Amino acid sequence: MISNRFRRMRRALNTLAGRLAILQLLIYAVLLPVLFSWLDAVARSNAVDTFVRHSRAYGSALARELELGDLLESPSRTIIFLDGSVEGGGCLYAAMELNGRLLGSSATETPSWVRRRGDDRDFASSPENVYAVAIPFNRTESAGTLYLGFDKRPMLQQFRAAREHIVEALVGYGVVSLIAVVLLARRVSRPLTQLQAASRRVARGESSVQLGTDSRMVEIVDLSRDLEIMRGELVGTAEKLRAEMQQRQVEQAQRTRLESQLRHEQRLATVGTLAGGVAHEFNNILVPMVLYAEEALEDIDAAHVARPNLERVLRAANRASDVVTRLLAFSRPMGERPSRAVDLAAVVKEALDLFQALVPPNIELHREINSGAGLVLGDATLLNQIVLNLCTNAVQAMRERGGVLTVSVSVRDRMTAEPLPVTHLRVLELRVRDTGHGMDPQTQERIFEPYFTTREVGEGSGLGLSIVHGIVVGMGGTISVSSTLHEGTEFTVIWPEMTPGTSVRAAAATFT
Amino acid sequence: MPAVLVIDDDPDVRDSIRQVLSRVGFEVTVAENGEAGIQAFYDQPPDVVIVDIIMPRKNGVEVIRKIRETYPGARIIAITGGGHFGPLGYRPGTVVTEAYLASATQSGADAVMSKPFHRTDLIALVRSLVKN
Repeated sequence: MISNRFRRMRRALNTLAGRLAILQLLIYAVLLPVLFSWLDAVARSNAVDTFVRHSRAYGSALARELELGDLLESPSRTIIFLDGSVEGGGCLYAAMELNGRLLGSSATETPSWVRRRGDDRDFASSPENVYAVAIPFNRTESAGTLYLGFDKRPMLQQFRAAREHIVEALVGYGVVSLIAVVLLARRVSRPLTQLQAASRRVARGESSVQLGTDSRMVEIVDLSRDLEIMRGELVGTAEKLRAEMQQRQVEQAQRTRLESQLRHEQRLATVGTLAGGVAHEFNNILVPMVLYAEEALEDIDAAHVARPNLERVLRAANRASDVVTRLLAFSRPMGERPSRAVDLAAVVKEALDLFQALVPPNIELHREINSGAGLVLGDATLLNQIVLNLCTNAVQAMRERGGVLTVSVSVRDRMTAEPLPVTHLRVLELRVRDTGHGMDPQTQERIFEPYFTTREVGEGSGLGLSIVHGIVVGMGGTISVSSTLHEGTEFTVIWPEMTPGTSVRAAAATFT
Repeated sequence: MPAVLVIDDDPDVRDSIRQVLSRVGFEVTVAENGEAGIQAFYDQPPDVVIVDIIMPRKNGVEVIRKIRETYPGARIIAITGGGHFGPLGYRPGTVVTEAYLASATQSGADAVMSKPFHRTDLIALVRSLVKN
């Protein structure tokens, strides 16, 4: 509680107004006592001078009368004169010494110490609030001294009153200037507080709040204008950053989705590949089993003891064949794939969207796709595989040095030399071009051979080309390659355009 | 005696086909890959060629094309075990088998058979081609 109050107080003292007030008070602590003592001294010396001058003048006037007049003819006249001096209010007492005889006013008692003082004008040393003056005067035959005592109290009272006024004036000045300083400081700090409040709102996200004040002070106006410009830039930057971040998140999400889709596809493909490889081997193994068993059955009598066993072997072989078929069916996620009209450009675009996520940063993917290229007869998934396969090979060819991968889809008139099975006027063309390491003519010649890459390299990366070849041919198209060593490779796949009049059944007949 | 040339990279397949056909009266020669097969064909053109499609060093389709170029009248049976393999894969057993068989047909194969096949079917097919 106490520490809270202390903290609040310290905080208040740390404000502009607090600091200025403290400064002001420190100045007063040094300045005001000095000022006070100076004013006090001036007032005091003024009052004393006036009083002394007045007393002396009064005394001198009386002394002159004593010198010139005949007041000293008799003591009674002298005493009357002295009484008059006292009763006139000029002094407290009056006395005169002439020829060793002291005469005092009868109105007041003349103090006993009068004669000892002589001509003492020292104001301060006069005791008992009395200022005593001794004024000598000369008569023709003798000299005398006039003693007068003046009351110092009214003068001292006046002086005290003046001192009080000085103190009042100084305190008043101090208070007023302190208030003025605090008010001025408030006036300076108020717009700053406004700016602070506005900037806090901006920081909380109210980006449209303007940083301004109603102050007309040049410095404050300049500051608020600069701050407002800064806010504008900050808000703009923040908006831009937010938009960029949002876009990046969307892109990241899309990328993640595509990658997982692609991984899924690849897993499927791996399973399919495995199953396909096993099936191929199994079918080859089954050939001698079936043929030899059937051969043996031919050789023996109907009643031969080995016949049932051989028949069991054959049944087992048939079962194995069924298992292989089922295995193939398992690796075929979408069942049979009847051929249908496929929009080639759309499929290629989709495949590239999928593939884009896997293109390394040092490789540029260019698309030159004629969206209205047309239809081909086939299977979208298999077309997809063709594109992915060709693009994967292209990327692998450029992996080390980077380069440009260009995929184009177009439609053009058919050339008569092209070995297409069905007579069509126009063909759709898919080109996949890379700027990779290229191939020598020997490699080009064998690139579509099954096993070619596996047997030679054992890596399996280029193995897909025999598959691509099979699919393309199966869809009634052709695939060719042109390549220059160290410059790049281009695969060109062409299919006959499927016009609305083409019979699916007739075109599909090439599959059987 | 009608002559048959069997081209297949799998020795068990070659030998079993050879035995079946030899015993029903064909003179059978074998080759273990496409190049050797073409060579064997040129050395002594047989009445019927049985060629596997998926083979190293010249696949069956190329063998068929090559033979057709020089011997348009040759009789050719293409056989395949189906299935396949590849990095990005495709759907084995669907189009691939069909695709290879189709391309074999397009290249000029007179008949196609998928492995495994029955002894009787093999003999009947070869005989029918020889008769024609």
